[in-house]
Amino acid sequence: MSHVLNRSALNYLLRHPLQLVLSLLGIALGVAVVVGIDLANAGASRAFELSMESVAGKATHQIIGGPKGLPDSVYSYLKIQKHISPMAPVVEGNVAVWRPTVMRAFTLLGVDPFSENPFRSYLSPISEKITGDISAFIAKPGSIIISTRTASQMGLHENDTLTIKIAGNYKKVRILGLIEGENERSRNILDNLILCDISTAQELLGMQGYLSRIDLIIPDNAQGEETLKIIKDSLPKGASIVRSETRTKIAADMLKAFDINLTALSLLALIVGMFLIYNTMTFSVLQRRTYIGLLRSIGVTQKEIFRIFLSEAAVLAAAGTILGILAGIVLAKGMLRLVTQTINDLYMVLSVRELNISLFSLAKGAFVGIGATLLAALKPSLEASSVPPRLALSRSEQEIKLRRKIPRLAAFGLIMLLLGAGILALPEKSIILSYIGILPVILGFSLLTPIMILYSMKFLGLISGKLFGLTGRMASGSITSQLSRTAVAVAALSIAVSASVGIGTMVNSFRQTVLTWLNGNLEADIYISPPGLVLRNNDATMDSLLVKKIEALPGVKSYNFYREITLNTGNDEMRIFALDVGPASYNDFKFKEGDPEKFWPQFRTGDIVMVTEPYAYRHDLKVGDQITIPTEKGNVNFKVGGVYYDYVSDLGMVTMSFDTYKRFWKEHSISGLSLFLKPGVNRDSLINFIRTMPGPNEEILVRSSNYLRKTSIDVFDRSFMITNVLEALAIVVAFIGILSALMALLLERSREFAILRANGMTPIQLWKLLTIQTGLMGLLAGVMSLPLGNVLAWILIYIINRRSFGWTMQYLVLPEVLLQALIVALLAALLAGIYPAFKMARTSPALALREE
Amino acid sequence: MQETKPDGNNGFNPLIILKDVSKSYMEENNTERKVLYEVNAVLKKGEIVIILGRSGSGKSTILNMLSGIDLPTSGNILIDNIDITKLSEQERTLFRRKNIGFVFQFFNLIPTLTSEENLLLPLELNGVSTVEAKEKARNMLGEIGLMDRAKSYPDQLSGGEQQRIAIARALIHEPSIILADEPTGNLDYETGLVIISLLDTLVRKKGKTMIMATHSREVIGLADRILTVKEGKIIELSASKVE
Repeated sequence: MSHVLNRSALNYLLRHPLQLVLSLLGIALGVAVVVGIDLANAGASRAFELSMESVAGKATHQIIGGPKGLPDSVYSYLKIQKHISPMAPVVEGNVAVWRPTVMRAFTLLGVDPFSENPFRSYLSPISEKITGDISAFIAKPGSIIISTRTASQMGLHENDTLTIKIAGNYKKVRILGLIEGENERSRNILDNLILCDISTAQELLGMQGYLSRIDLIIPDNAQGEETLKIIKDSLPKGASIVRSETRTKIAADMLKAFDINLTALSLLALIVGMFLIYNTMTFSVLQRRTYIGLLRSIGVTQKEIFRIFLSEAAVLAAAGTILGILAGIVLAKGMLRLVTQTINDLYMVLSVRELNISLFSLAKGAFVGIGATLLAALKPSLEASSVPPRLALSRSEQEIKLRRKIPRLAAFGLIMLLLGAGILALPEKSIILSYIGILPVILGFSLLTPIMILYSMKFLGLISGKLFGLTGRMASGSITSQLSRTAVAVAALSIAVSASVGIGTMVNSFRQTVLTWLNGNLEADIYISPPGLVLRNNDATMDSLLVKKIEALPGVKSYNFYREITLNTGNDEMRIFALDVGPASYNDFKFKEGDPEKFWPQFRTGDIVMVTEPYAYRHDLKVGDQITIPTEKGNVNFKVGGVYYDYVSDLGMVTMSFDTYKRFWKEHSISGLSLFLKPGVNRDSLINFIRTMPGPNEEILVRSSNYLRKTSIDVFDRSFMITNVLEALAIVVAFIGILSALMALLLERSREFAILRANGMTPIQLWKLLTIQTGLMGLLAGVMSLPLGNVLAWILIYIINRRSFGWTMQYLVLPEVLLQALIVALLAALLAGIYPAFKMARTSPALALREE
Repeated sequence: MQETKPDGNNGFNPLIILKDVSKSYMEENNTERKVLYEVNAVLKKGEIVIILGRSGSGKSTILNMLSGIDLPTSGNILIDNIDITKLSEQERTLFRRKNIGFVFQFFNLIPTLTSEENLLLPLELNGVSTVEAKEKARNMLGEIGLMDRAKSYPDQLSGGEQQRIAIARALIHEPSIILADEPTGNLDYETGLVIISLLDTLVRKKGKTMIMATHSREVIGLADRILTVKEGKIIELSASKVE
């Protein structure tokens, strides 16, 4: 391509510095959000992998037990009687350390140093580290080993004493030695571990006589099959052998929907960014129609014009993407904290302290940024190449052409909407497909924009004329007379704002649903539970003596209690919620399916369970179906008697009566209880009293229903904080794009404004004209964003949320969300008018006329 | 007055032949507006032809069709025995790139290029090497007396200077045909005369064919032939009739 042509295109960009900067910012922000989320997700995934590797090591299979664990006699039996090798016993649990004031979560890993070698290579220096004092590691209770790096980060040394918190109990341990990983990967794994001997871990975690699991390496051959058979035949009821990767896969599945939704939302910012790039490029073509016509008339071919514009987009894309990647790295640091916090609140203990900037993530960001920009620039570039070489092609001719196309555009828009609806209506559970279905909906809507502007301006034009006279009529008239420009700007603004309406309405609807549910669900006066590191997933139990004392308190009228356990079904994890409730609490459970009148009488005695809505959705269960639960007495079939609304966990739960639980499991500790008080008892005093009841090294959470409601909503808000950040970033991207589009639109009309000024219009009057015009466009975009925003909210609530989590939500339109949309659109549009008005007011009309 | 016929070449080599050329445009209300009705004309190599006519008579349409920028609704246009109406869009563009130089009423220089770069553009498009192109551009700037404005952008030049650069741009790649659409329409009388004189000198010196559309009667002195467009037809006038 001609150097002179390239220089000309470059000069064009440099001569419009404000537009250039805004375009670059638009691309950069879109890329920054995608890279930021991707790096944060990658950081969390890596931490997850390390955490899985740290506990699973090279084991191919694992033997697991019931809620209390696996009796350690199983290990001795398999080792001594059946000579199974290699095999390593493991006791593990989550613990927290405060030092000095910041809480840091660790996995306490109890191992047998003599069996470890084949399994966890990163522990290989363990025997070297404690050579000469191996007996201390095994024999001295409370001896632990931590990594050199952790020790230095926390200011700890060998022989220091450390207090760790395990399920509400404070325990003191002594640092016997430090361990240094052989390589970076080992060091990363060790950072999150506290290592100790099996017996120390059993003592600390209250698992005397039990193991968390036994790790095995079984080859994938006939001999391995034989070993598996021997093990299966030797296992007591309630214990099972599973492949290690199955457990990793189960844990990974937990995070899948969370991960996909986060990525999809980050892509939303990019889609908004793409619309704005498209918008900017379209304007760039429109502004240069005469220039393109001129080039065509002196013999520049269509292909060459196409190349000029696409190269220009490529330059913008490259520069914007580089900026975006740099900003994304900064953003990722903040995002990582939010992502980790949400995972810790909802799913599992994950400790991530540093961002791993993977080249793959950066390459993805570059690909997405450049790809999205080029894709967005493709149509404007094709349009540029189709500009006829006739210089006589007037603006009015362009407008006439568009007017003729409007019915076709609208029809195509409707077809796209139907296509989107068709994709969304497919009987699929795929979340990605749902997001793909949103794209034609957005595109269809943007194609309907010109016709909507034409009709709405008939009405708005009348009002504007009545309110502002001739200036008002001129302002409204110029919106329809320049539809080829205004429609693109209004469509881009309304799509950007509708994204915020959609997300805002979805989050608020969800929040309101959870609030309503909490109000009907937390009817007891006081709730007591041991503290857990994962707020919504707590297998910790309470001291039974303490429970008895609390139940016997004179102010207590009645109480409910429950036990939560997690079972491994081979392919999945099943959370069991064993509940002892009186008839007064039956109404707390709102049935989605099933008849409560029939269900509750069978609850205590029959082999019947109820499942939460997400559980039923994930496992395609309905009332009357059978569900197999691996109990300590073997696999037992239970009938699903009801499906009830529950918003505690998106993974779902199976709820049975505590009596039923007792029939199938030997371990009867409870995970928490709720108290109903006698009339006249002071709740707060009783809460304070109960808090004094545990021993000095124990801790329990004693909360009023109001407080629990508040903390639940706090967790909810925290989980959506990242969504809000993304929504805000999408708005910023939109804001910048609109600013650039409207500014371009107004600056392009410099000559027209100069003529008005030359004919006696004062700068103030001109400012008024521009303000009314941009204000009307902002208002139009704001109003048009409401239906699309609500369609997006509907899709998010009824399709994407259901496919991701299986929850039913109320659809709630909040006036403040709609108002915010109108204000954002108006504000963006009005702000965009300031600079051109300022520039026009300061420029001599003669100069503006001459420049043309 | 009579319409020029294709066979009326009087022994000269015809360079451009218009055969039964009609042109109409669609209006907004889907009605057809006919601009030219079955026009016939023959233009010879090396002559300067002026097309007179009122605004909207179809003068610019004829120039646009001669350059292949626009196509007739019916009829044929032959240039150097090539029927350009039969060429594809790409072929017409390449034909124009090589054979046509355009001078416009509003100069239409590329605002983002300097005077020198505006001259380099047609040369680069025609594959002339950078070194050769630069030399030609400098020579041409010298010929039009604007060597000192080589690095100036169009908005830093006066109207007359811009049109001189535009003329230089139209001629620099040595096309066989120069099309000039109201080249003095945007200039004052004095400057207009200077521009006309420059065009006349350069076109004749380089032996080019020039077709100039204008409604300015002051320029007819330089014409070899004068055509007028009236009611959709081309009619040849003698200089005395124009006077």
